[in-house]
Amino acid sequence: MHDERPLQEVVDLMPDVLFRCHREADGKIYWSLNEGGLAREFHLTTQEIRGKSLEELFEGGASQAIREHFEAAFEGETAPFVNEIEGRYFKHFPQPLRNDQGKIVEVVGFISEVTELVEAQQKLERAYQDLDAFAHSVSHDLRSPLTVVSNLVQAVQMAPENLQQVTQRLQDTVHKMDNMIGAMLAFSRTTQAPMHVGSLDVTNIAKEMAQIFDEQDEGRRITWDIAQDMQARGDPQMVRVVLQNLMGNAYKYTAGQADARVWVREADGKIEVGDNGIGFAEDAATRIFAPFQREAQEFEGHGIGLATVKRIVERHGGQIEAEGSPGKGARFRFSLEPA
Amino acid sequence: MKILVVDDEEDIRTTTRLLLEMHGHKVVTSGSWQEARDSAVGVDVVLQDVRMPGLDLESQITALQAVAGRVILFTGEQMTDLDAAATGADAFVQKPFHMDELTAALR
Repeated sequence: MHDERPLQEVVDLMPDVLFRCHREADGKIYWSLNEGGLAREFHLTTQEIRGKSLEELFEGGASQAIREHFEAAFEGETAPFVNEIEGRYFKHFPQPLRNDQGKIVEVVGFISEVTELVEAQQKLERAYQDLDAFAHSVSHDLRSPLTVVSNLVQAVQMAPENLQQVTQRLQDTVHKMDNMIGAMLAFSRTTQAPMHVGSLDVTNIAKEMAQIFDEQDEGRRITWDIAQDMQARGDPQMVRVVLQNLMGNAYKYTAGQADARVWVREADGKIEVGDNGIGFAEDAATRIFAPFQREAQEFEGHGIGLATVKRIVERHGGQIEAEGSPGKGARFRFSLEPA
Repeated sequence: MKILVVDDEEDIRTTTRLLLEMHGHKVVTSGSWQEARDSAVGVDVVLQDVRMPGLDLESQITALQAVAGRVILFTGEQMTDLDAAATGADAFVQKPFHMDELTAALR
């Protein structure tokens, strides 16, 4: 038997929104119908928005964007559009409704949430950009040591008596290149390895790291200032890599300081790793996170540590920023989920 | 020929210098664009890495051409004749390079 339930009940069951709107004499857009799951969630059902125009319903920039789309729809535009409200994305499928004279008197349509789709798309775009930048860096940066090898080989070909002299240099360069490839593989693993998120004792990890660095060179004097009771959530292996890189950099770049000091503390809900080392140029704060970007050529390094750190923090849904100036130390702040 | 090698990697500067000197050229090197601007005065050819921080590449090339003979791009990136021409450079040599190619570009 065919069930003759009213259309309203059917629409109510839909997660989406079914709408119908028109323009009144004041030129503003009003709704005569706005029903479905999303309408209820946002308290925008027909009942709730009766007598309110588009401008009254949406504030600020959102109003402007939505109004432009609806006005276009009243001109006959039927292309779907997406708008954002509080980090969620909604796709509108408008259709004009014409009277006997062909004039558009109403716009009807439905709205679906497409947040997951938009987020997946953004993620894909980011991954694609990363990949592109990565390929670019790889081709460029692996060619550097290769150029050195090629130059030295050509020098020996021309004057074989130099062989003895360049052998060590060749070996060093090959070693450097091998390190670079190793770092690149580690970098790519941090993107792909599955994450195992759990509670973390950040204080403990930082202390362990400090100990490892101290044991590396017992002759070095450095003050590790690690705050007590720093807790967060994250993948323990990965967060360890973050601290290893940040604290390792701090260790490396304070090597010339008489009173070298490295701290790990909480600041503004973020974890801060700072030092009183050589710092970096102010305008490098963003650049230093790009793979193979090296600001301190006179120090050993392959330029991929901070790129790895950034990637890990972002995989955890956090953010990282750097602050520094030449000779005045560096500070890195990153966010993790709270414990 | 007097050649200025501009590259931010020391190993590349020293080994390229070695090779060029073995081929009878007089060589100066710069590790930064700012330094290169001064060193370029009066040299016959500037061999310049494409990724030197500072001004954009086109402006760097124009400024160098104003004080030196020719500017040859020294690049680790994929580049075509068209790409190189678009920057205003007189020629380009891809890293790693063979001395024969560089010699050809120097002529």
